[in-house]
Amino acid sequence: MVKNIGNKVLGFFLSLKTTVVLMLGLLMFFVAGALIMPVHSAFESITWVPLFEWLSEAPLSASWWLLGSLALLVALVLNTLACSIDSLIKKRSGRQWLLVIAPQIIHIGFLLMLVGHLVSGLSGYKEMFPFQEGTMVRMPGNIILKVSQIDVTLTKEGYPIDWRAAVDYIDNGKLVKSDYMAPNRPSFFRGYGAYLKQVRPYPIKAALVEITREPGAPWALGGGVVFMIGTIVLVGLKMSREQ
Amino acid sequence: MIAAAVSFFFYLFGTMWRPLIYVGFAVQTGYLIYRGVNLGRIPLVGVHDTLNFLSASLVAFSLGIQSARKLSREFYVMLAGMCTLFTAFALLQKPYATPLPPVLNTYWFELHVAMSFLSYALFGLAAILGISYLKNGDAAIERLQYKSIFVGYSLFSLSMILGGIWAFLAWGTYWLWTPKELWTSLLWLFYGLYLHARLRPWWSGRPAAVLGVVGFVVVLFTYLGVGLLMKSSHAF
Repeated sequence: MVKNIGNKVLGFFLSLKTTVVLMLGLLMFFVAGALIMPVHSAFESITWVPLFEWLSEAPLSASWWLLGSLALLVALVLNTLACSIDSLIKKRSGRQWLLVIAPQIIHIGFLLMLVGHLVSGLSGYKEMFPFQEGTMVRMPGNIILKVSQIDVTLTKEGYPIDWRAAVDYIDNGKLVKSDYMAPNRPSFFRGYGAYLKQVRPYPIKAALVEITREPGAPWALGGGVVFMIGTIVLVGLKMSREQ
Repeated sequence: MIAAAVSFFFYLFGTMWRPLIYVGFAVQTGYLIYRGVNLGRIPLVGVHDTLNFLSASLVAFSLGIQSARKLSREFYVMLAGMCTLFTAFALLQKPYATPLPPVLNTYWFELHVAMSFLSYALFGLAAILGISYLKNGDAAIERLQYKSIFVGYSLFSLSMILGGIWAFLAWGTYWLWTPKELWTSLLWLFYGLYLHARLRPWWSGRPAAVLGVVGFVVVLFTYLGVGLLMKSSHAF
C-alpha cells in the first residue's frame, strides 16, 4: 500500500506532464499577481523587507498568489530534481552525452537562481540614510560609515550628469577602509553594499545612501552563469542536429 | 526622423513588393547608426529607438531564416506588416535626446536592452512562422518557429541575467518587485512552458505553434503595455 503510494508520488514528480501543469499553474498565479500588484497598497513595502518577512505581515488578499506560486515552485523544484536524476540514470550510456547533460545543467542553474531568491528572501537587509559631508551612521555589525565628500558634475544648464561620494568605514574608532560610491559603482564592506541613490548639489551638498545586503546575489549570479552555459551548449547541439 | 519615416513607407510598400523590405531595413539601420554616432551611445533608450531597433532586428533575423528555407509570400507580407506597424508607432514617439541619467550610462544596461530586443525580434519572427505553419501545415516551418523561440529564449535569459547584474550594481538588488519584473518573469516562464510542452505529444504541432503566436502577444504587453499602463521601474 505504502509502496504503491510512493510509486504514484514518484511517478507524478517524474512526469513532464507535471512540469507543464505546474508551469501553467505558475503562469496563472503570476497573471493574478500582475493584476493585484499595481493596485494593492501592501506592495509598497515589498521592496524594503525580505520577502518572507513581507509574506508574514501582508494581508492574504495581497499575498495569496505569491504563496500559491511558492507552493508550485516547491513542487517544480522536486519535479526538476526527479526528472534530471532520472534522465541522467536512464541515458548515461547514450552516445550523445552532452545532449543529455546540457538540459540538466540548465536545470541546476535554474535551481541555483531559486536558492538565491530563497536566501535573499530570508535574510536580506536594506535601509536608506540621508547624508551631508561629514555625516556618520552606524551600519549593522557596529561599523560606522562616514561620507567625507560629495561631488556633483553639472551641465551648463544645471543638469546633473555625474556624481560621486567619498566614504570611510570606521571600526572601533579606527579607519579601516576608504572608498568611493558613484552611479553603478557601490562601495562594499563586510558583505554590505553602500549605494549612492541621489545627490543634491544646492543649497548644501547632500546624498541619499542605501545600505543593502543581498546574500542571495552570488547564488543567483552563479545560477545565471550555469544556466547560460547549459543553454548555449544545448542551442549549439540542437541547431547542428537539425541541420 | 525623416529616415524613419522613409523606412515606414518602404515597409508599407514592402507588403506588395518584397525587395522594398530590404530597402526599408537599410534606411532604418542607417538611421539607427546615425543616431548612435550623434548620441555617442547605442540608441536604445525610449520607445522610439527601441521600436526602430526591433523592426530592423526582425528583418535582420529573417535573412538568416531565409538562408535556411524558402518562405512563402504570406511570411513576407506579415513581416513587412509588422515592421510597418512598429515603425509607425516609433514615429509617433519622441526620440530620447537628453543626456542619459548616470545610472543608465553603463555597458550592463546597453547589453541588457540590446539582448531583450533581439530576443523580442526572434519571438516576433516565431509568431509569423507560427501563423504560416497554422495556414500551410508545413512541419519544417514549425521547426523553424521552435528554433527561433529557443534562440530567442536564450537571448532573453541572458538579458535577464545582465539586467540582474546591472540592477545589483545600480540599486543593490538583482530583483525588484514591480509589474515589469513580474511580467518579464511571466514571459520567461511562458516560453519555458512552450519549450517543455512541445516535448509532449499532445502539445506538439498546432498547439505549440499557437503557444508561439500567443507568446508574442505577451511580449508586446510586457514591452509596451506594462510601460504605458502601469507604474514600474522600466519606462519601456
